[in-house]
Amino acid sequence: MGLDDRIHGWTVVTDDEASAPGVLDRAWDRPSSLLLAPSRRGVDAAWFERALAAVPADLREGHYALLTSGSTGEPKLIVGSRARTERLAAVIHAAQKNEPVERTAVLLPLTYSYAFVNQWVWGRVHARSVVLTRGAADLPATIDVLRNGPPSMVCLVGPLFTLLSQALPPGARLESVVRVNFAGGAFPHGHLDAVRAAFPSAEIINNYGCAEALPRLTITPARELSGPGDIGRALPGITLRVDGEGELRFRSEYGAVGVVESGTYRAVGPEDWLGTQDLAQAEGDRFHLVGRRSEVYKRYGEKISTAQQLQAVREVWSGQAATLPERDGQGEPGHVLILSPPPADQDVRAVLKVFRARFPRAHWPLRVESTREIPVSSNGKIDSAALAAADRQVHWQQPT
Amino acid sequence: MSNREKLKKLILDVFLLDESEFSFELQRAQVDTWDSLGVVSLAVGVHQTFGYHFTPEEATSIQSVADVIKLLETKGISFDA
Repeated sequence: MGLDDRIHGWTVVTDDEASAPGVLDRAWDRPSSLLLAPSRRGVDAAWFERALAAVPADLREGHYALLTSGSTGEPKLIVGSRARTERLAAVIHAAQKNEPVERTAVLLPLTYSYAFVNQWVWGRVHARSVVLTRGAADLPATIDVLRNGPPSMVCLVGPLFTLLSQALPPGARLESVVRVNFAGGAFPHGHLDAVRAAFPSAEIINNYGCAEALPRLTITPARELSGPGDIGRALPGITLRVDGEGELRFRSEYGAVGVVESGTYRAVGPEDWLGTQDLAQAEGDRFHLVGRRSEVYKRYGEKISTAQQLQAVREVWSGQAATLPERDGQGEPGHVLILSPPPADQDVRAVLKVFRARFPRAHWPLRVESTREIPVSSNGKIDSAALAAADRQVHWQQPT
Repeated sequence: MSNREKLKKLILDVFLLDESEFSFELQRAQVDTWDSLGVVSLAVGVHQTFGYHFTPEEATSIQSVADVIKLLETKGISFDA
């Protein structure tokens, strides 16, 4: 596929093609809408053909579409308006106080809305240079980019920072970076000292949002956060509320205009409240996340939030931690806690002590295990399928 | 590992106790995590470790580590030091 390729009138560019200089700019400048497609994600041209056939013809100009994983595990296409997204880029610029930033280094795939909007669209709107790196695929080269050059901005996810800091030569600092954004998962509240040590010149910022928000709902400097889960206030032009089931919902002037899922197009109107899949609590106009809908389940009638548990674990465990769902011997839903790298006995005891002190037994993991490395996918999120298949060592288990 | 050592490890794991908190005289009332689900977990653990399945009445009647030993000894499982 390339700039001359069209599907139902849409210009199609893959992320491989988008890495060539000027390709994305030329595609964005065209009247025809742009589909930015990942080169490798198990979705072929026929899937896009069916998805774009479902999008109304009046969106074939001035819009763009990105692929994301759907709540059902099926991919979905998020359709946005270029004009709206460019307005959000200006809001991001103001919220992050990005005026001193001269360039942005992209470490995540451009097809990820976080990298695409926060970095590529932002760079275009504000005439800043956008440097594409291979991210975790070539850490020495990525580190080299971040150590040298003009005042820069990066957009990270938690696991990517862990990989980056592990690969950092002793004593090395990423001095050129003046803005470090985190999104795409839990903000690394427990590791802020490590982030500050790696990026001594940077303002560290918690960005919260989701694919349908394209992609931002809140932007909060770490120094203004009251604790884990705090995502601050809605950006101007966005309204947040917690619904009756505890899910955080939003209306945004900049978000998706439509979504294609399972071959069906659903328009998003200005009165529609979109779900984030996150559970939250409101405190005045500030919001606190308490877990993902998918991370909350019922065990013996108790509502279990694995996200809350991981937050607690991170207070005593500086390595990585993840959970996997599993049923216990009675058939009740449960989960396994997985630590990486393999912990010492006293680390396991410290983690178990946290469970005993903070959570009733129904919340405890079925086992505490470890693996050499928590596998992450190309967007830096934990690859649950690979983690389930990884070699794991059991450190503790409760008889169930 | 002796049966006493096996039982001690089981009690530590089931109730998330530190070694310093354990004794063979430990009472249920002294252990905050020896709740109703803990009773079930202990029963499953005893089955997995010693091969004996407590009846529901036996499981709920246990009020101490000594009770576990006493009950298992009546099933022919020895806890001689």
